[in-house]
Amino acid sequence: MSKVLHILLIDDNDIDLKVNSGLLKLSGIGGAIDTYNSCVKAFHELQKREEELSGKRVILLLDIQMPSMNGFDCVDKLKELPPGIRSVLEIYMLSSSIDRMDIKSAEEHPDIKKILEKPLDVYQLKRYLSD
Amino acid sequence: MSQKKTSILYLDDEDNNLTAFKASFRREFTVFVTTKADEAVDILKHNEVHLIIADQKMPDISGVEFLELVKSEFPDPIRILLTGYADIEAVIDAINRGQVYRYITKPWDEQDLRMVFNNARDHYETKRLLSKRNVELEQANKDLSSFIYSASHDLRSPIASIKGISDLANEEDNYEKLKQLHKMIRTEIFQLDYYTQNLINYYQNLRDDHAYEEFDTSEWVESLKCKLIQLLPDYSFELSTKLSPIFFGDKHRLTAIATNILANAVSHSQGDEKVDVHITTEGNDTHEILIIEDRTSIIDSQRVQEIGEMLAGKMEPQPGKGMGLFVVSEITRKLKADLDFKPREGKGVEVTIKFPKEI
Repeated sequence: MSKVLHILLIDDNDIDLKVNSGLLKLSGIGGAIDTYNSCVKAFHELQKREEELSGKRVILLLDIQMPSMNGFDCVDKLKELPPGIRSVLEIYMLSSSIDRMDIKSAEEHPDIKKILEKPLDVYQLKRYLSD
Repeated sequence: MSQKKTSILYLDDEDNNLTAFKASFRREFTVFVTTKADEAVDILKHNEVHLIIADQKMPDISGVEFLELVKSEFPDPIRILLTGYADIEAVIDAINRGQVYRYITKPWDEQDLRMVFNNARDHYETKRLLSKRNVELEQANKDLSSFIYSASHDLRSPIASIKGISDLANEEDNYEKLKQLHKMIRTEIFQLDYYTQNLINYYQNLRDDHAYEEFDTSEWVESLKCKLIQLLPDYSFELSTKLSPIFFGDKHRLTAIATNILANAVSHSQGDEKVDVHITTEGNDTHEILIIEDRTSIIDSQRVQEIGEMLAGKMEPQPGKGMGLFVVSEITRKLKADLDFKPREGKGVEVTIKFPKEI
């Protein structure tokens, strides 16, 4: 039996949070969706949710260009999460400008699955998730 | 282009040569002479020297050795070797290894030397200009790379959002929800417009032209108000003024500065709250002063510090924000203006720009 899906979105742009969660709901991908407008907020919230999230399949969609702590810094920060959450996180990066250096950094990063272009292509995401 | 008198350092162990040289050339050139190598280095340390002449045959150090010695610490001056015919092998070798630019032979001909000095000076200026241009070019290249990164994000990101919103709208029948989606598109479009205008401001500011003109301040403030309404139609503000009737300055650049500061203030308004902004213009014989006060916003101290640093040009714009303030700091620099940003007593902030009437 496949695990229960839980989707987390981190993006400093509130509109993009609404749009992407709207698109995810429309796609019928299933699972609960939580949104955070900064990495720090997400980090503090997630720390408290180890029990709830461990055992689920947690998909994190993370915006790269954010002020103060960008997406890549955020991936490093999330390593400090309790192991129960860290081990179930699947990280996908989101970017509006697919920069060559960003693609390279994402591909070489052991904790990042893929980098996706905005607006979120949910069908592509579904394909990645079923791989 | 007026340029400084060519300054020449001449090192030779024979005093007579130094005296004769000085007598012939001191009127047209700034001449330093010495018989000692360490004194010569001292002169190089404390003076701008364009040409160095060293005699090849000296008891403690040869001319080529001296020129080699100073090359790394003083790469700019043009090195010239003075020799008798007997030293021709040493000269050829030194020239081939790039240690000296030219050699001159003893006894010298005054007219020949003048020509050599003038050519050497041209060479010096060309070399210096080239290295200056290289530094500028490297900087421009670096600026361009970081700018492409931030511009590609800031231009592309509202477009990506709008694409996403329109995907959602496509599947939506509910009128109220459609209205919400429309509002989001509107927000993104205005952000895109604001960014694009600042992109244009940024590049226009890089151009060297300054258009100083006299203009009517109340008309100018009226035009600022219109611009602001265009930029931020969903925010409300009250604008009061205390104006000196006439301003003398670079109107376009001042408009870009004022619009950005005002937009920054107005966009801090929340909900139905009106932002109360006040503009003061005053001037004296040499300077004009523009004061923009935001009298309502409550901005947390971290943000105040951030804005201050951006205005002082200490902070690069971050994706999605700060472009406006970055433009303000660039233009301020171009206008040789003083910019002061401080919190007001009670609430709000005050920006004062003092700029010279002429540059």
